[in-house]
Amino acid sequence: MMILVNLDVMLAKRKMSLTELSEKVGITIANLSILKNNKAKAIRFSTLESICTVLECQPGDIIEFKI
Amino acid sequence: MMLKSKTDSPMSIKLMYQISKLACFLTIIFASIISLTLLTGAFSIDLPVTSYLNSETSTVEAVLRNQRMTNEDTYSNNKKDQVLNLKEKIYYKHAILKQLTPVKKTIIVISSLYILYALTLCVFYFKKFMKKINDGHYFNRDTIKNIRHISYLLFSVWLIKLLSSTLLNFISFDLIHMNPMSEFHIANNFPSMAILLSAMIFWILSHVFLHGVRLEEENELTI
Repeated sequence: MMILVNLDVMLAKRKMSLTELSEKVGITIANLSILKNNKAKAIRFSTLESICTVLECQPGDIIEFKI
Repeated sequence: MMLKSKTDSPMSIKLMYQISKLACFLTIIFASIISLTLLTGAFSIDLPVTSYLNSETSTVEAVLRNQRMTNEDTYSNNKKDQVLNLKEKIYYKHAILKQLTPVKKTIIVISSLYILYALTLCVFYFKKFMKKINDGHYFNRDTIKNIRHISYLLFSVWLIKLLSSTLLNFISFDLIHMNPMSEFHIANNFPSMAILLSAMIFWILSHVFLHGVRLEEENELTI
């Protein structure tokens, strides 16, 4: 039972690299890879908002609840 | 968001770090000198003070014996009785110093050496703690480890003090020389609560810092 981050799936769909996303969103690659590898403990609404804006998707496309 | 701001530590912390470094250096020298003196005094060389006390005790003993022999018939004399009491007290005090059996000697030497080294280690751990603080690692598991070690050491010092004083009192307890002063001696030799209290404070502080570590970890892993 955990929350999974499917950032890599969304990045592949949009054909965008992590470096590109980090440049557009304004978050360091280190922090983005923490998020991508499911090591993050929390995510700010502002970060989620900017990622969703850049990737043109819903938060549900990035975050998934898995039992 | 990563919060890795390498700010310069305040002047007071820098000063405290320097003081702790100096204190650690001085304590190690002091502890080595004291332990050397203790070991040589306890097991090989008779210090001049003890030999003086031995001679003093023997003279007091002789005087006491004479007094007892002459005063046996006039025991009701109040003033002489008081003088005798006073001399007996002096005799008792010196007798304790004279009758240091090997068991007592070992207890005293081991407990005092342990306390000495534990307190030296405490100062060393404090220096390590201050170094971490000076480097800016306020909420780090290594920083907390030092405080926890200090608290355990202080508690063990208090425990050893209590054990050694009770053991010594138990050994020196005898019905022949029993006097009201011995009870006072036990009460007076009870290890100070300040050590126990500081140990507890350090222990609680370590837990507070641990909570801080958890908060910092969470903060670092919040994107």
